[in-house]
Amino acid sequence: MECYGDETILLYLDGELDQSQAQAFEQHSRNCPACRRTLEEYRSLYRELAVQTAPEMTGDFTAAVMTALPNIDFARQRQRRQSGYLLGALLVSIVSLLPYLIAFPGLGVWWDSGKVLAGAGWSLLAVAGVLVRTAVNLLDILLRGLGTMVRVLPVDPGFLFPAGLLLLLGEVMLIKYAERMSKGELTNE
Amino acid sequence: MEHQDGEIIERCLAGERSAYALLVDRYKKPVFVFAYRMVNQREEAEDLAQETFIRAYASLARYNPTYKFSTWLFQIAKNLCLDHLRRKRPVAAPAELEVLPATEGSPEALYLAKEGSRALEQAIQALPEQQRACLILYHYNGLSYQAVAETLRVPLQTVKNQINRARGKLRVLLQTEGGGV
Repeated sequence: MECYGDETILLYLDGELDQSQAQAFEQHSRNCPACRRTLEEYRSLYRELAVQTAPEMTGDFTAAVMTALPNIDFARQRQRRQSGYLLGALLVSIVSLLPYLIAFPGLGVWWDSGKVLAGAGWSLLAVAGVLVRTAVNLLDILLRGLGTMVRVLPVDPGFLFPAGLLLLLGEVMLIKYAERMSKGELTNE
Repeated sequence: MEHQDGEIIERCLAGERSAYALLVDRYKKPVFVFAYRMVNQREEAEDLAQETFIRAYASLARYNPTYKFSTWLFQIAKNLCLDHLRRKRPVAAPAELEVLPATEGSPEALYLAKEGSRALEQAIQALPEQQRACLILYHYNGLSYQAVAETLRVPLQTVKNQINRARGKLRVLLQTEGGGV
């Protein structure tokens, strides 16, 4: 009969063979010196690993750790992180408004104004969507409403720039609202 | 009443610094055992264990409660131990490895037990770091295969393969050494 490999023997020792497989292995090892020897060697290794002890820890470990802990104001740390997110959102929003500036009268229009408007608007929506952590349906509706409003605005070059500023202001207000909603929760990153 | 890890962490994040001592007391032994088995030097293991808890505290705001705190703690400990081993000079002479004396039995039995323990210690130190970490977490820290996989952020089958390979090498090394196994 073909011998079992080390992997099967280890599965047997770990109790991961089903009953029929375990019985088949036990039956085989009773009649196979090689497998029986390997089994005993692994059993011995398991016993050795189980009885190995670690030394006792010296001194008052906990006191030493507590003394060495840095002074951290977790509330301020969280606030700074959220401010960083806001700053990042603002920067992305500003960059997403660049097409507006390029399309502004006097600088030359490269694209169809409607596409520029929709593209920039959806960029803002995407940034706001990333930042909003809580599943607030109303917020989602408001964002979609903004996007729809952006798409149907009259494509008047003179209206583009102030419209973009209004969108930016609206996004800032929405992000602040989301921050207040998530205040007090553990951060998940 | 024993406090849950998450509850203690919330208290720490709310500014109750002293609450962190509860977590340190709860996990200092397992973390120390892991570090000791990785580096086989008590003082270094204690330093690494201390650093583990300090790093964990500094990053407490980024702890994801989806995972067990112990899993996250072992991840930090593992990274610190691996960094330490890479910085350290390669392989100390066998005589420098710490071997804890046995405390029961005849002089001959004690001698054999000590020699066997030394051989096993040396064999474990000779394992590649990833295999060593898997083996230690499973056999010394008592983690399940799944918990080891989560701690080391590797697939479950990889953990099983690594542990089996480590066991195979230990068995061969110990047979070659003629150690106590």
